[in-house]
Amino acid sequence: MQDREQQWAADMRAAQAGSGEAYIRLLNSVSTSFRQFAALDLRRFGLQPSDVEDVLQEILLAIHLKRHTWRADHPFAPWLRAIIRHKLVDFVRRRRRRGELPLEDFPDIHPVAPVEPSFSTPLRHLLGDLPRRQREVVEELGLGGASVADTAMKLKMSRGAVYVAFHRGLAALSARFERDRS
Amino acid sequence: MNTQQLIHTLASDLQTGAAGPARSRPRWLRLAVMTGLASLASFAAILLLLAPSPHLAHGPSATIGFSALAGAALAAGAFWATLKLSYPEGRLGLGWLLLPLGILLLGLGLEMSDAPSSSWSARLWGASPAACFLCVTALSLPILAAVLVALRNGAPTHPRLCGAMAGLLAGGIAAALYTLHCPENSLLFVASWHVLAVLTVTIFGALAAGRWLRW
Repeated sequence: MQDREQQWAADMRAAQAGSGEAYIRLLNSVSTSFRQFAALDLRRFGLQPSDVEDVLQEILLAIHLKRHTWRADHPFAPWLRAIIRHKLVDFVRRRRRRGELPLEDFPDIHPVAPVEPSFSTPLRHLLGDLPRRQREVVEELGLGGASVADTAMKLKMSRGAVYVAFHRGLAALSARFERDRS
Repeated sequence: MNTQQLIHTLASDLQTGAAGPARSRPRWLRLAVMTGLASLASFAAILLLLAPSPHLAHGPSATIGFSALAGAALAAGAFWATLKLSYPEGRLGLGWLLLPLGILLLGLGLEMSDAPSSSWSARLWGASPAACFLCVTALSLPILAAVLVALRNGAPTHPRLCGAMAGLLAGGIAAALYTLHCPENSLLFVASWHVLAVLTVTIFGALAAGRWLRW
């Protein structure tokens, strides 16, 4: 527990200083912890195993967009727990409001969530809603793993424009999450 | 998009984000600057649009002193509480409320022990309760709006509580500033109508934040 806190805090500090490698390690570690927690405790929140990755992705996006609210001289775990709880409660509430929660369908023993399920519908759906340029950039950089320079060349944009479109795309994604909820 | 791809997308956003929010000014400073600027606007409105309190001419009275002090104590405590709640893990603490309440009650006690009970009703109602109530409320609103704008950059997990604290902050400042104009000279009046205005702004803050501060 203590080790994990220290590792997370160290990785987040490095990430805030710009280390993508530390950030990926952190987000993967957080994902693993969340999946373990979800496998044990899912039912208490009235979620189905298929929801785990959806919630997780919203949590990761929230961590990303609010990463500046973690203070390096504060413990990381309480900050993370608060964000997870916030997003989880939010997800469940939205679900209830839509009346999509077939509680009686819950199997007594549900399978542990698959490590890497194929596609998360909400994100893919949201991505499709983005303006064309932003979508292309997010797809190239994020999904295709292309470099900024390659993306700029391929889409005939300046590197600066690629940065901007990428940021806007991510911001729009989060705004859409927010809109979906209300 | 699967989760692994999302993580890599976020990581590349981290590296492209040279001017990302991580390098912005500390949150307390941002909040303080926004609060201060909006307070100046309210202060200017009082100086330019409203006549100075007739009681100021005789030097600061006990009423002005106690209500300005209570307002300032309220604002200081609420600033701290708002800031705390703007972080995801922030919890609400209300112990600080004892200070402004204590100041107000002390002043009230002094006034009431001095004034004959036959004058209490006149003190309570004053000449213009509705005007004072509306003025304090109106002067609070720009401050409340500025504080909420500053808070959008935060991550409150209890947005309504955070907004309520922002309302107390705005109301405290406005009530303290308004003593420069308030023509009434009774703390009983202040404790009723100004406090009612502050509570109204608190409710506004909670309602507005429930909409604006979601993330």
